[in-house]
Amino acid sequence: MLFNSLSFAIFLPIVFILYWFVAKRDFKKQNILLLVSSYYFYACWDWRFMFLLIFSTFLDYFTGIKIFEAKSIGSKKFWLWLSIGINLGFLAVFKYYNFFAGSITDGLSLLNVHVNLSTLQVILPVGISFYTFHGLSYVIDLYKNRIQPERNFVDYSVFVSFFPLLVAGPIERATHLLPQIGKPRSFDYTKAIDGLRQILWGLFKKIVIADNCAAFANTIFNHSAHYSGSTHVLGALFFTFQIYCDFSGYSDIALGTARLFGIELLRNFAFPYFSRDIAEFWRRWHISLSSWFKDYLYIPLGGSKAGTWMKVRNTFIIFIVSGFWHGANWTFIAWGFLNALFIMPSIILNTNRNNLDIVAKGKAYPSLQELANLCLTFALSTFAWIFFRAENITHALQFIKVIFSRSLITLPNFPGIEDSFITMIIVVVFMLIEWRGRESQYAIESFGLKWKRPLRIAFYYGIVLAIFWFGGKEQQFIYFQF
Amino acid sequence: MKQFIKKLLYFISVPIVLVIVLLFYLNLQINHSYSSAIHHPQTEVLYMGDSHVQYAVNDSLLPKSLNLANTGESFYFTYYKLLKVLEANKQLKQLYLGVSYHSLSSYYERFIWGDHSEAIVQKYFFILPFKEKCRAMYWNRSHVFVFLKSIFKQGINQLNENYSFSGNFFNDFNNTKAAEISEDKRLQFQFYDDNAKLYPYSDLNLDYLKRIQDLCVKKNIQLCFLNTPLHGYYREKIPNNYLQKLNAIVLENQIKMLDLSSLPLADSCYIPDGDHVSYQGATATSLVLKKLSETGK
Repeated sequence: MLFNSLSFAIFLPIVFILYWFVAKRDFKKQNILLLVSSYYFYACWDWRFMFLLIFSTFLDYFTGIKIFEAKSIGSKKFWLWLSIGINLGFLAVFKYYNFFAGSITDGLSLLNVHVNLSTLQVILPVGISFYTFHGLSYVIDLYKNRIQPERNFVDYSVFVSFFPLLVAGPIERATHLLPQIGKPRSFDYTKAIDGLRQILWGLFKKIVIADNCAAFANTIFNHSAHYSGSTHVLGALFFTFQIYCDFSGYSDIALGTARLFGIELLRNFAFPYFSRDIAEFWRRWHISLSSWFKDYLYIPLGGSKAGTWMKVRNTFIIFIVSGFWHGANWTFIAWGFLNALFIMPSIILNTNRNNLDIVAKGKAYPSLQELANLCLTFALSTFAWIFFRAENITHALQFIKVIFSRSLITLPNFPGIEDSFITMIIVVVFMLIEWRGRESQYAIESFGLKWKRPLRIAFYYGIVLAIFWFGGKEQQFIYFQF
Repeated sequence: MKQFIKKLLYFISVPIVLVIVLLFYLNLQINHSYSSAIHHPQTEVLYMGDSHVQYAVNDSLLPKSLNLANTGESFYFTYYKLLKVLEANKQLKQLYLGVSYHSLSSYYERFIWGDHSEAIVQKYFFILPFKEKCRAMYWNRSHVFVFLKSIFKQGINQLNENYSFSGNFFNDFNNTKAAEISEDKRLQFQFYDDNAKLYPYSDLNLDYLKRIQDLCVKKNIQLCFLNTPLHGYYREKIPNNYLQKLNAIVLENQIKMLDLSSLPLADSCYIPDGDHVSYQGATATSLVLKKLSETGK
């Protein structure tokens, strides 16, 4: 069940009504309802993998209690590593086994050693990377004595499986979400309206921008051998907007949906394309994952406390692991490596925390220096996205080679270029709205709130109309494959 | 909470009401204007069917004739279109209905509610009765918004008297010839599913074929099935069941059948798929039809 599907448009109001009208007096009943709804939501993809989800939930619930109750450090470590081992084991089998088998076979064949490691014919359980990280953060926090174990299995299961975040995040923390699940929630009109507004904006991003950009990006990337350098640039730009609007659109819908149930999720995007350097970009892009890696990998590795060399090493590790988290393909590893390279100057010069504030805060326009930095950061991230989108490393390198060829100074051309003009205009308008709303949680959070009511309502209807008019068939979200 | 639900319902109901009103308006206008547009007082002979007839019958070569066949038009759609055409043309005497072997195959239902329906259903949407409109919506429920959008796009075009469902003679295939690879693909597509299993007959289309017969009887129109020329290679590979089924329908219902499927035509009179004629083939076919009509056969 996709957020942008009719079935979700039916599912959500039903759960909402049951939640606030039938189970309103008892938050425990509300939690049971959320759990059942979440499992139903998940089972709509493939009910067989629901058992994996339930097992993973039970494993972390059980080992969490064991870690807390363990008398010795050794015992605590045993339960922690049992949980980590099994969780990562599932990821290794379902997500990475074929990659490793293929890479080992290819690597050995270069040494003239021919082995035939059989591959698994399994599909990737949707959301496995996300709920595994949920569970891991919980047991690690328990081990580090940051939290108390959740004794109520239903509450813990809702923390792992809450349907808005189940398949593509944000990756929640027990410290943030569990307390909200464990106490009564009351309906807040303002928050509910805000939630709807964020859902609307998320749908706009996904259906109007991401899906339309995807059509052009796919045309160019899938047949890149036929096109000029300038067309390749256009293809990379289309993908840059596609991936942002696809994933941040999903996150907006997830956050808005959760807010309808009185639950606040972690913010996942903070206008990353308005970043002045790559370090800032990574504080604004997929925030819940970046902070997860910071807290559970970067800091345990020593973080930035052990000198520049350690900082450089740890930065490379988290970026490469982060790339690998996205998918079992060398392109993702290259993407991570490239981002680590881009961030390196600021790490070495210790300028990576220079831009903590919002760009041009309180002003309408950025300064020339800021504009130049924005453009450079955008260009670098666009360049890195080429690896993320390419089929393989050879494809990515070939793609880049064409960009830097003489054909760069020709006019872009591909089938459907005329149709892409409308999308380009919409993207420009979208970015202007994003710029205007960059000091809010999401672009239209306060957009038009000071306008007269009819005008504001007309604006929302305009978004609905755009979704209707520019929308095509339901397209899956990119991050579902991770 | 009540205020929230109330406001939400208001917000949602406005576009829903607008969509309904707009659909109602388009429906009224299109049906009204099509009735005038389709009125051809000089026409006595009507040709209807799918792309076979659309490509094969050049009505400009045939006196008092009108070709209203359209690509992908199954009997289901022909029936509802015929209702409109007969309503506006009381003078019609004869209907040549394109009936070929593939028309009986259930693969054709994919053009009504299946994966090929998207480009077809919305064209006919406004001439369908209310019940069938609801069915069309139901068939397309998985992508209802895209479907609604295409209905509106069609509606706006049809409001400008561009009746994409109406049909006409159309053939821009010159210098083509039948190609066995394409013919095999075509046969596979029309008669066999993905597991190479023979498709069953289409109950829906057979039902509407019967309805067309009954309608012609009721309106005193002489009905004649028209099987357009088929390339030898294609014809030979048509599953036997289908050959027998069409014969059985003709015999059972005692319907006149003009079978041109074996008309000797050069390879260049076909397009690669072998079941459609090229422009050259259309001229040859139409001249045969002209000759037959002149001799009263």
